Amino acid sequence: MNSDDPLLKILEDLLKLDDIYACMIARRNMVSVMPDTNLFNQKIMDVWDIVSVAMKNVFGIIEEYTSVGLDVMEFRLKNHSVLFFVIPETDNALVAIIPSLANKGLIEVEMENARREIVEILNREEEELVKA
Amino acid sequence: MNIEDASFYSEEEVIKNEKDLVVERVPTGIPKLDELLQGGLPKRSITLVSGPPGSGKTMLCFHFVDEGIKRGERCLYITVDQWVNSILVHSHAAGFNFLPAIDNGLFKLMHVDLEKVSAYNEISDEILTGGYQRIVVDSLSPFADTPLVLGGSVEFEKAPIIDKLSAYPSETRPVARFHVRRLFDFLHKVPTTAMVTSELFDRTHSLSRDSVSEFLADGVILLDVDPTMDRRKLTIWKMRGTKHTLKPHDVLITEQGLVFKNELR
Amino acid sequence: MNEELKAGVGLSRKWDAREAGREVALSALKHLDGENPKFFLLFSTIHYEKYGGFQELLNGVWDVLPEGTPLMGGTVAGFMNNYGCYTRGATALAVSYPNMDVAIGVGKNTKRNPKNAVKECISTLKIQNPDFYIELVSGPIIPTFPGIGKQTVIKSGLLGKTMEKAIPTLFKSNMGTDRADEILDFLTDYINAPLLGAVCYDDGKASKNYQFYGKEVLDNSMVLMGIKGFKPNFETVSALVPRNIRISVSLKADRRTCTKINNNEATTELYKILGWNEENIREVERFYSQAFYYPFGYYENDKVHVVMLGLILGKDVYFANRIKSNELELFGLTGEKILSESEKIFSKESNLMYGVICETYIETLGNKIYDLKNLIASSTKDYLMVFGGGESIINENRIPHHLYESINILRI
Repeated sequence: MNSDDPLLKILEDLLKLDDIYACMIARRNMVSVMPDTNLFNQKIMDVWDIVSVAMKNVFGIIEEYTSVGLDVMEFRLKNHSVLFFVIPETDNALVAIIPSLANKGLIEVEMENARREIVEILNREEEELVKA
Repeated sequence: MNIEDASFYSEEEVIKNEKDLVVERVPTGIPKLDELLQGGLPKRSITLVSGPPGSGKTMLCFHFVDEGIKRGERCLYITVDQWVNSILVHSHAAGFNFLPAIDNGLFKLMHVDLEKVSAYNEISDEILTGGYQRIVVDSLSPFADTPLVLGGSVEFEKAPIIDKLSAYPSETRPVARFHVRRLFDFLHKVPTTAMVTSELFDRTHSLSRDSVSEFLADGVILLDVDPTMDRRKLTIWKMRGTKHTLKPHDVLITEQGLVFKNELR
Repeated sequence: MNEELKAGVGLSRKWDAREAGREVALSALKHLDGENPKFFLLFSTIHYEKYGGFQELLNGVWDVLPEGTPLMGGTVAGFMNNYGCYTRGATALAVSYPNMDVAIGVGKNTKRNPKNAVKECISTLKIQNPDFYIELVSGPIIPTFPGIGKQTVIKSGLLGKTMEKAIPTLFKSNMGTDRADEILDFLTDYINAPLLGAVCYDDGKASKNYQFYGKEVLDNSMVLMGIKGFKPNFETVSALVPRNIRISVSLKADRRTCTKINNNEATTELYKILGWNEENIREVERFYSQAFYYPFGYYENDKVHVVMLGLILGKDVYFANRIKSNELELFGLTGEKILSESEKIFSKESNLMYGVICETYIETLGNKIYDLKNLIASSTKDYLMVFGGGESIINENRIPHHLYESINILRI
């Protein structure tokens, strides 16, 4: 771990939490930033295929409603919950797979922190581009 | 485009020698990609490079052609949407200088105007007689979009005779298939390894704009771009005769062209 | 007084315990303008157990903190401070004030013998007549029953009775309920000043928790800080809403084990009232995730005293804390109510605020906890709120309350 990529580092930090089985930054049809899948909890393997397909549908909704303030989406699948924290003003979301019985509130706090850090990085990169 | 020109069905020459069954590899010019492809593209294959605008399709083609030139292979670059000068400038900005190869005959840049009736003849003549080892068609999409004019008493296999173009619009699959198959057939007739690009806006239903070429091609390389996260991904979707991972890889467009992110470390 | 009082809130999000200790101390001390702190409160989430351990966390703090600084703290589910809201990391509050006296006492084996723990704590607390106290008590540990392991629902009546008898043994093994309510009662025999206390916790699993005392990492202990030199204001608020469901309970002598509810078999009646399906709540996680949001309680001196469901022992229901009333009411908790009640307490301006909030609040609000933080940030200069497994308060009227699902603060 210990990536040079700041976005990847945020995800790797999230993955260190016991109840975050997998996480990534994704948009429809594309996972933009994903840690090494060997770091994922293998318990998600039985739902991974279904989650991948379901994500496409969820992102369809995110694309449509993000401009009017869609913030968080979630669905439950078997023993897992999939959380989508929409990155504001984008069609991207921070996605995490957690056990459905996890203390979701505590996890949401760290998802929110990760989202804020991602936005900060994107804003910083934009400012650097403008200066250049 | 006239159906009278439809002498495109060719007879396949069946392999007789065992040595011809071994897959030879043609390096792409990107070392990490060649590693993922067990050495490169299969010789005499047609690989579809598909992706949204700005994803790096043309850049990949530049690498492919540049590698061929370095190996002394004759290369042909067919461009439909961009003018020749634009390609030269664009490639130069990416670090490729094709002018010397053009001067010494190793490289030909050819712009095709699909609105000309003779477009297919020009293409087929160049491919069939040019003696090229590597060919790029950038891009395939305008071919598939070209309407088909049926006239006279030509029999079009398994299609009804029609007398109005609007009854057989260009975006229908049979027409796209016709064009793609025709082009691919020219490419198959010669001992060349080809790369064809296709624009892709929404990967919900298909891997190419025409929804056909991914089935007809021997290989499909998908390029994705996420402008928000500033990420590009390359995925080898299929490659016949090749054991490959389906995992997307992070790629960057740098002063050295298209580079795999891992290679930078 | 305010100009001379300096406070620094620290934060570390580093994973390595030693580095985190150094960082949290440095970031707190830098706000003291070179003054040595009179006391140092240190809190962290449970994660450092896997990334170096809490002793290393403390060692890191002591790499930076001046020798002899009174330090106390413990593990919590999360915290909120000037920097943000976190359920992973370490935080600290360092305070310096010229005429402040501080001392810390410690008592061990709080579950095994809360009375002795309090006695030991008071005997080690070397300060006369402090103006107020800050307390931390070791939190609950879900018991591992001999022979059957970790269970919250024991269906069999016979086994339930057997396990009920095992509970004192569990206490002796420092497992089970925190007994912070009993500790508070015993404390009132010795102290005569306001107190704000928290129950240490982990990440909601009630598996382990720790206390910090000087350079030591402890478990199953209590630490009590007495401070003399100024008198903060204490406030409490609860977001619990009564649901108009009242029950009568019959309790055993321990005031925890309930044999009947509304004159019916306790377990059956409880399931009926709460709409629970026995099969669905077998898992430990599911039991507590439901139990915490259906608290029963009773009013005492205008405060809602929540009684936390602990275990199902066959036909009997075991509550985590002692019940002082046989008439209980069902309450509910919503995020909206948390925010509206919080406005009453957080809209007043203050320079410094330290508070203890129940972990269920952060669990209920999730990422909306930032709405709460924004409320505090709009009125308070420096603040540190910790989310624990229970709250103890003795307010200015000297009335003790051990609460759950409440917000309790002291402000200057």
